[in-house]
Amino acid sequence: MPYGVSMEHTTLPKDGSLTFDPSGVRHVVVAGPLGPEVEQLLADARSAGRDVTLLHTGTAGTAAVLDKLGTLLAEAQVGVRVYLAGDDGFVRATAAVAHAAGILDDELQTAVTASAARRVWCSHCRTVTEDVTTTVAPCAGCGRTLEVFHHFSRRHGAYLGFQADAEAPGELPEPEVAWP
Amino acid sequence: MAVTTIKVRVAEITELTPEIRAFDLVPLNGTPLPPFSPGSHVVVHVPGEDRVRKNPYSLASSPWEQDRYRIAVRRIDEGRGGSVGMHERVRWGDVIEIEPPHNLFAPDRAATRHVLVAGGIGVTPFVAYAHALARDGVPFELHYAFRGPEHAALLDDLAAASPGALSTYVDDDGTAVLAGLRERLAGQPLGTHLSVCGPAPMMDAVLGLARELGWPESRLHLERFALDEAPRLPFSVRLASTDEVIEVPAELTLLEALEDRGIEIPYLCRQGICGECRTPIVDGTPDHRDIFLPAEEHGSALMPCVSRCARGPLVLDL
Ligand code: FES
Repeated sequence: MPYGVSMEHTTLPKDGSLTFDPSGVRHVVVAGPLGPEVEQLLADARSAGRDVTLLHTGTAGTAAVLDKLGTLLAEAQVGVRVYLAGDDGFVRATAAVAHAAGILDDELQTAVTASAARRVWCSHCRTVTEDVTTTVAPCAGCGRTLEVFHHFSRRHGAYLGFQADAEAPGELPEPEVAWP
Repeated sequence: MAVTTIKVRVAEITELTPEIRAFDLVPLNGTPLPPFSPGSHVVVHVPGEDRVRKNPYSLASSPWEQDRYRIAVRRIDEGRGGSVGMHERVRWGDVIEIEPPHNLFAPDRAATRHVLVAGGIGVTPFVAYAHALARDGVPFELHYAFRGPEHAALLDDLAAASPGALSTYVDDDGTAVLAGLRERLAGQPLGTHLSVCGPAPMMDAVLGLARELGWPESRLHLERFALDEAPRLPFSVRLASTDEVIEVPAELTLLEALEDRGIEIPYLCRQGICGECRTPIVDGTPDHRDIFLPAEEHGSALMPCVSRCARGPLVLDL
């Protein structure tokens, strides 16, 4: 593995729509930001009379939401269900927090409801660049031109970026808008 | 495929309860026994009056003890004779054959905490669990239910391996253990997994309670021993390739009857759990007694270690 990203963390999470899961006894909804998908889910959970906690970026920034989610899950008990909605970067980042807290796949639902922009992890300087919409983009840390790979690292909550002209120095592929 | 066996000496027989005996098995010439992972079983070749019975028993000792395996055997008089053979024929000092350990009930490696629930003889795999988890520093709690104090097997082994982690219940029908578990299962941190081993009705009740409290399937694990109580009738099967007809008497399994004819079918559990012995059929309706074969395959295959014939002629694709 030349990239320093372990293969077992490269599963690309599935993004579907959010459905209220009545088998859970407590529900944590994380939205960045609130949208119709999430409103519907909240309505379903409330009409089922379930305990719902909502965290969203409307009142706090992404970093604060990630923090809060981490603290909340560290104290959570088995029986919780987590729902994540937002743009790609937000969903990846929150999913990384949830997995680190021990949430399993059948306790988690994700939906990319806004921009699909990716977070990209630079395999050279280990900086995460937010909001990448093109297949080739500069690293916010070291400035290298990175090609964005389909390998998603759960640990970093980001896609892998690798120097685009590593094979043939100077030959840079054309950037294409792939995740608007 | 010929199965390699290990010869072991019965170094000690301990009467644990009126029905359960522990057998300590040691290697013959000092060669260490294979190490095993918690939850493993060995298939023991139990000497019988006219034939050897191959019965799986969980290893109930510490996984890194390589100079002794311990198994605990509950005598089941209405069973097929394996457990009775262990109780009546196996004597102190005897040399018997076992097959190398195999694991169908390993603890989830991602778990950061375990709740273990045992009923009766189902406690055996948890002795090895307790040793391994204690050594690895993975917290756990063990809930152990038995019918009465005189039926509490392996309590000393468990208490030694899991100081402070053991709760016991005197329980005939699962009420006491369920009442105790309700509170425990409602308050487990994320990362906890639940493993249950015991009589089927108890396991169903415990898993039902866990689901009610929001536990997802991926956190639930169970060790079934498909003790099949349904009466057995003799039947016969035909082999499609040779037209040979094989009689299966009431006291033998189809797998044993095939083995007696020199037909080796791969197996691991011999209890209808692992799927290893799956055998295709070309005709007839099996009486499926396993818990492995999916319903879609009920017309095309059977597990000869437990399943029998509902409507013949049963023709095996062998
Ligand atoms: S040997 Fe395991 S199912 Fe038959």
